[in-house]
Amino acid sequence: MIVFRHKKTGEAAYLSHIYAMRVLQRTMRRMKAEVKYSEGFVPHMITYTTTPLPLGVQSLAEYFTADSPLTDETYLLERFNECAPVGMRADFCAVTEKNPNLAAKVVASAYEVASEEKISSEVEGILSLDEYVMKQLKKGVELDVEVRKKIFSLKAEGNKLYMLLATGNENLRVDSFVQSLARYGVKACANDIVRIEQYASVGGEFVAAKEILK
Amino acid sequence: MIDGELLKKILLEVEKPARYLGGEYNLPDTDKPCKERVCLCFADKYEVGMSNIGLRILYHMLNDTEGVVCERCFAPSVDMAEKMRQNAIKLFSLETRREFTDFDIVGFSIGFELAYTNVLYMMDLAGVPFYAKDRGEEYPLIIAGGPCMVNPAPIADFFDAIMVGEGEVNLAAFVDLHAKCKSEGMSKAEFLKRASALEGVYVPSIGGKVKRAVVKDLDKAYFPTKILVPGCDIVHDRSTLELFRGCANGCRFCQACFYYRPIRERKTETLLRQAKELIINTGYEELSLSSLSTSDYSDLKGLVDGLKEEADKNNVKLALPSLRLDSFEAEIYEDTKGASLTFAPEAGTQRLRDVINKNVGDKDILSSLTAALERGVKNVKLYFMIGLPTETEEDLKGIVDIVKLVRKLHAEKGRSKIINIIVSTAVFIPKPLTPFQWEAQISIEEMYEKQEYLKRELKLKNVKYSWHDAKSSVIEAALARGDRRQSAVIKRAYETGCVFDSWNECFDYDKWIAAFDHCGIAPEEYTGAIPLERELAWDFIDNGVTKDYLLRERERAYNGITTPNCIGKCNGCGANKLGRCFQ
Repeated sequence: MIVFRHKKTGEAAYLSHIYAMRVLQRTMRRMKAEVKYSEGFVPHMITYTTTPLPLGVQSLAEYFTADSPLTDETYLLERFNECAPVGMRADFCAVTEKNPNLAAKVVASAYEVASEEKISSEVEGILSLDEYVMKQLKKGVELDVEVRKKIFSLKAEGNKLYMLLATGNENLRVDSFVQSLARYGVKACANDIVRIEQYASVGGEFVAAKEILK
Repeated sequence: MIDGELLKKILLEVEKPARYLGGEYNLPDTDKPCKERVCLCFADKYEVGMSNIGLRILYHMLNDTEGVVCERCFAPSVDMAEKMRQNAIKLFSLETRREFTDFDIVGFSIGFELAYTNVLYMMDLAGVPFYAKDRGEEYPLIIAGGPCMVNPAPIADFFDAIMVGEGEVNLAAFVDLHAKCKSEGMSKAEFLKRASALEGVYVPSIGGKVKRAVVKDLDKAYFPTKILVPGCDIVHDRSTLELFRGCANGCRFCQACFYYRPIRERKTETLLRQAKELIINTGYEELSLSSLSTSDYSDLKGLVDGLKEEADKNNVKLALPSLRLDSFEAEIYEDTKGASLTFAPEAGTQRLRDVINKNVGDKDILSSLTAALERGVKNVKLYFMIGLPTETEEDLKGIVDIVKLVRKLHAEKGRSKIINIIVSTAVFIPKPLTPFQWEAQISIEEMYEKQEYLKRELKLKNVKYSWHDAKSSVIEAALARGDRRQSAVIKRAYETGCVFDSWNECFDYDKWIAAFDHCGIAPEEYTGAIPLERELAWDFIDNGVTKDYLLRERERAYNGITTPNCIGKCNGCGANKLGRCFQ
């Protein structure tokens, strides 16, 4: 298996998950990389990703896994970047024996938010609350949802907000959460949010996903 | 350039934002030093325009020209247009987000009459006056090209110049000349006077005759293999090879058949090289072939064998277009693992097929369908036309009979357990540059009557019938044979809300009729029969195929005489004076 950590920035942030997957698969095809295909009537490339980002949110740390016997990480990284669109280039490649199943292992993501206005440090007070209720659209209906346990850290620095939020099976939708922070001066749209890294939980500690691949 | 920060915010509120961003893989260098900056526009949405092979060729050709940068612009969806108006964002190019006024030349590719209002929609969003006479030196040259230029009269007043024929020839020369004239400080009017002397360039403000420009040697003509690969869905999301231009069959209703003549092929080795490059450069999963009649390619077997080998090696699916009934090659079909078959008999009886010169006999239909069903075809798509000249009830019944024949053949010889038959009918639209260009279109009431008959008769198990909208066919016919008076109608239609007319859900017949009324013109003037001696609005264009030939063909049609495919023997249509047929 080969795993790439790639970005999803600029125009690429506006590609839906399904389109982004296709862009990555076409990148593999342009690389002429040997990748396994399913064996059905219409064979498709066997690839895996982690939790999709909401449309418009940028990322510096998306993980893409392809079922391939290739092993030269340096060469693969170079070829990937020659064949990927500018907004989806990779900065890391690891070869693993088995599928690392990052979709199941990733439990948190770190985000950076650039607000148009200065953010009040009171936002960090959310961490001392027992409950935090925000609005979230579910199947077209706006619902009140309690998400406090999905917020792991919050730090305001001038116009920037740094957050560690739940990702994966217990996902906290980052754009909805950022919208709920307007009362603290957070004025940002989805495109002002950048996912910095994704984390797995190892022995109760958050460890960057790329570290568990080593 | 428009405000990128503002744009990224409104993009989150519109459907498919990727349509408005560019950033595709294989983008050319649009920051290179340039003398000419051109914006190629397609008067429909991104996913339609990005599938257009003509636009693809011209875009890359201009960007591969030293000193020229070419960008793209498509008609934004209605939701995006609303946001742009609310936020005072003018229409912009995808590559560098420049407005129209930042370009030297803005060119519209128009492939369909119902896209005319979209041209005005885009001009409106760009903030430029509709009529060429109202655009001073501060505006770019706004020009048009594409298949609709077979009769540009209805839209001529909107453009500074019209490119008649193939853009590899006239657009390239036009851009080159403009760069020279611009450096000499020439005015728009002076430049247009010079440009009107170029082959295939018509300047409406000057008038005169124009000869269609054609590529003389298609095999050596520019064809891009490092093409843009969009991130989002487009209609034809695959690599495409252009096998040849023109068609030897001469179906008498078909404009494309005559318009794209002379018939010119690319060599097999050229196509195989292009296929190889396309597969490497794009990463596309599918490769398709484009031409008006792929079955007529002189080395189809050799080409398909070569392509298949290359495709298999790279996990690429080779998608073959519908093959003509009389040359259906089961072997090729089987090799490409098709599960469906598309046939276009066009008419239900041999008599009417002879009238329209669809050289497919009942025997051909029978043998082709039998071969396909024996090989396990599950889906059969059948295309017909209604309202063809001389059509009778018997011909409509013939359509039903063919459908029943497919069912019977499947029951007797079909290898698949089930069969799905999709029957589709279009309404005959008399188009310029066809032997039927003088014919009347049937009335809207007759269209409904015929469609109702087929709806009733085709209520059969496993048969699905779909039909083309009658009302939009009427407007398409009126615009196809329109004249200079129609620019006022098109403007009025746009101003009263007509846009994206080729999308069924957007088309508003009543608004179009009101626009014709407002301008004191009856659509029937254009949809009725045209006396043979009357001068036609497109007579000023020499398209190669002569009027005499079209008249002869028309007479043969009424006498039920077919004209053979011209591959073996030239029928003397006149197109070969523009360039040699069959290279």
